[in-house]
Amino acid sequence: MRGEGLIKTFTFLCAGSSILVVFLIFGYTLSEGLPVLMKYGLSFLTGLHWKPYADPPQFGLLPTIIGTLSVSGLAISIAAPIGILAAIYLAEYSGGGFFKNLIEPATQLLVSIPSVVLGFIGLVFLVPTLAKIFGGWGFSILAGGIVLAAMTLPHIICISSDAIRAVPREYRYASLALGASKWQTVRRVVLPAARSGILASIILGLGNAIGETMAVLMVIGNPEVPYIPTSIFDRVRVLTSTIVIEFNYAVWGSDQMRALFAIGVILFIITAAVNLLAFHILGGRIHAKEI
Amino acid sequence: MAMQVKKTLLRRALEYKPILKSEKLNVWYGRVHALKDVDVIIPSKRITAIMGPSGCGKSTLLKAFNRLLEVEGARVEGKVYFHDVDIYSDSVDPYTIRRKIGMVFQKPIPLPMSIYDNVAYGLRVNGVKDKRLLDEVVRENLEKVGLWDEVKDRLRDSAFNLSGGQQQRLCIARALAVEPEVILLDEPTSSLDPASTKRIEELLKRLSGDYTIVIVTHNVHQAMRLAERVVFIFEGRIVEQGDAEEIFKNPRSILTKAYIKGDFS
Repeated sequence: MRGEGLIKTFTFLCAGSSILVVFLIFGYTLSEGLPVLMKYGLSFLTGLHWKPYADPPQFGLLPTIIGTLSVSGLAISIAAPIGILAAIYLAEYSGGGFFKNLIEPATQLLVSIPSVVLGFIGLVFLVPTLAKIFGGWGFSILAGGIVLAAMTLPHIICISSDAIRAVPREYRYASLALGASKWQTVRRVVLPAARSGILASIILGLGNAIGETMAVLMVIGNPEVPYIPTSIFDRVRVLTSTIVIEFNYAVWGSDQMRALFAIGVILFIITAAVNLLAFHILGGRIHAKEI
Repeated sequence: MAMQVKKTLLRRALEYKPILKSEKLNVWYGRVHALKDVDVIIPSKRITAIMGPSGCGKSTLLKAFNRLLEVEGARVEGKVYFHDVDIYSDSVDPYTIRRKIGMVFQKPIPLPMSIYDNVAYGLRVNGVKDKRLLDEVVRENLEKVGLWDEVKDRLRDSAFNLSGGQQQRLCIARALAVEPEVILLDEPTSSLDPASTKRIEELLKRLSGDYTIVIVTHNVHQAMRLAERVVFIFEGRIVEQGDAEEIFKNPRSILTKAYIKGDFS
């Protein structure tokens, strides 16, 4: 019996350590980033100029935030329609056949490709190709969006197809028995019933895209002075890439270093909010099914 | 007595004009041989009950009539004639068949949408968009199943807010809305309370003047109350079929006799 108690305590400590790590990281990031956030206030988020080496330095994050949103937004608008249609195929049309057994593992494999490899392929293949087609350097929102779309696609496919499969089979029978075609059944009954799961997959994909660093960093160009992009062919910075690029040069304890931590806080909040939102929607799925 | 004979003869005569008929119907689920050489006749505008113990293939037979079997991945051999058309021939598309031969399931399955949309669903997938026509059809069919007065003020509510018995009547209204000739019902009252069951049975009797009704039931008393024709299935084979009164009074097979007596179910 005493052994039981020991094991319970030990496993509890291990489980608790993950919470501890989260709090330590967030606490540390917050303590480093908060002074800058306090000092520059709202202008940190809405300022147009990011000039850490100017005197006095300027920390305006708006162009970077817009860069982040445009790259992630583009990625999702590419990945969501493809992902949902792929999920419909896998869940409704493949019938467990050869292609399903080919596509599902391939999708899983796409997840396991290290992001730096995807970024590298983007750098040596996608960027020059875009440059050839559209002119310019090729480093762009478009390049980042395509690379990120490839990274978020498997998540969208996986969660959406699960959501579609979770729709009770009886609904399909009831619809078919009224003379509806398969596609009518999918469009009018199955997809509406699975909409919360599909929405959650898109939101989670968006969260992934916003937090992703390496792959996107390598193909978006990261201009020295960030500016608000006016087309998808513009180079941009994103929140994550700004941290990676500048922390090598930032002096420890300087406002610049603290500003990078503040970016970390913002990223943390955004991704946490996105994840919470997705889980909230997924949790409501059972009720959503009954309208 | 003479009256009785006459009535029986009349019924027999009607049987020669079947609306549905199967010939050497065989169905497999994977390796399971669910229906074996089934020859069955369903007369027009009558209530036919398909009886038998659970797992005997009665639901399978029902689903053979509207080609829902192939959706479940079953293999079908043999012929099923609707009027004089073999519904399994290549030139027949299953959607048309399912419009003509509606189905109501064991558990009420309202679709996850409003009461109104449930009834209008079958028309909408068939391309009807005219709002006035839809309104009319929804009302007419909800009235037919005696649900109109109960739901007319909340047509936009979710169909899940209805009670089980109401949901099943909604499902019948939904099936009626596409103007089928035949309605297949798969143990439609097995999940309902006695009061709701009674309402549904009365409804089916009323409808049998205008529609051909085929009901699967494992409840002998329900078959006695409703059916004019009875098909008794055991282990995938037809044991006996014919006039309900006759079969209940003088079953030819000892299996039927035992089943009617309640020796097994």
